[in-house]
Amino acid sequence: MRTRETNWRAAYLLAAVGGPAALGAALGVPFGVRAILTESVLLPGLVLGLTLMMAPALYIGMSLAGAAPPAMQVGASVGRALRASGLVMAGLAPAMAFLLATTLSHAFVYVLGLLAVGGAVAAGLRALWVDLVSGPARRLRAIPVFGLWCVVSLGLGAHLFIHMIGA
Amino acid sequence: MTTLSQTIPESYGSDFLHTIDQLLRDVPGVLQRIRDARDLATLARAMIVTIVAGAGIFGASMGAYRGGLQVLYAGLKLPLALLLTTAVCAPSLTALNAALGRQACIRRDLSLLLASLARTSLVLAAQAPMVLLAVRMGVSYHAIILLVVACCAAGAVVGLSLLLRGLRTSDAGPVLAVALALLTVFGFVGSQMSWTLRPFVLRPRTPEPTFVRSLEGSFFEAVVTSSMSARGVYWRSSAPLPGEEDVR
Repeated sequence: MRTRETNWRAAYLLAAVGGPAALGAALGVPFGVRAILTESVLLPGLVLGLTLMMAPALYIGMSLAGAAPPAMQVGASVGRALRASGLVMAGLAPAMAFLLATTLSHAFVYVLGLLAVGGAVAAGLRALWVDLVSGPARRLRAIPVFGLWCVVSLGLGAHLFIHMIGA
Repeated sequence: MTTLSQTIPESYGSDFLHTIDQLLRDVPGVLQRIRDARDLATLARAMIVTIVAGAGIFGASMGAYRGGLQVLYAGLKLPLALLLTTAVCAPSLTALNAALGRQACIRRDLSLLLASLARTSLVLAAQAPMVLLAVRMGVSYHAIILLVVACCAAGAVVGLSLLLRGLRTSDAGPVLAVALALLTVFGFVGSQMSWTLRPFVLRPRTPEPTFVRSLEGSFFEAVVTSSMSARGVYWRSSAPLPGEEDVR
């Protein structure tokens, strides 16, 4: 019998992977079936890969600033953030599929794709901030570290995302 | 506070008419019903019929500018545009609620969207006579377009106020972020859906009304083209008629 914790973990994983997969498939619509399949794998890979690469840097930076909770809690918070952004991506996938199926401009794919993924990532970052940082003193110390970390992560993510579309 | 549902005796008409009346005169009662998830199927059916009827009447009034088949086409397409947009955008609202830690239930979220659009449709139906009057007075095509936009804006404000009230009363979580994100998605999808199902008013020089035109790019590309045309930058000598090849 599955425990409640196992069910929660499965739901989190489904949202964190399924959401980007659905949005990736929608982004591939203007480019054909092969692109739908490719990008439904590439976008979750991009999100998870970037998270694995950047999460340790966040923990180290927040620890040096004296604002980090224990490592396990940081990991759990990152998981909840991935769930939040995955849910938004899943919710936006039908809208994106419709918009991209009814446009003739490939430039539109980049603009809409960046908006959708950017919005989903913003939801995830908000969830991460709310989860990680509590108390005004800790918040003050965390702002510069978290801010810099967001800028670098978003910059890397946007660069990789633009090269991923239509690949 | 006593709501309409508590003062109206059970012998009052059918559930269906009662729901529509409640939508006009007892918004707190409707929102309470959605919050309690009470008989949402009946509510949704009533809202869909209201959207079809209200938006259909306004669509028909737009089509009256051209007359004939265009009255029927526009009367069918406007409710279709609203309902298809809702179907595409409803998962976004539930996903946003879930992601931002608010209560997320697709049935309640869909009911709230339908109730907002139904209220908008009732306002549109109430404004249909104004459009008909303008048509009868021989107002120009562009003036009719501006009137239609103003009517739709008025309907949208009324519907939006119900949506915001519903979001605020359903949960204490971040309302503004959800509302802004949903409006952005709704705006994009609704614009493109209307563009895909055009024409509604129909330009005078169009020879024959068609149910939909061929896909000629997106709404946003059309906005870019129009803004360049407004600055005197043209890609072609004249706008193509339906069926004509778009040569740039």
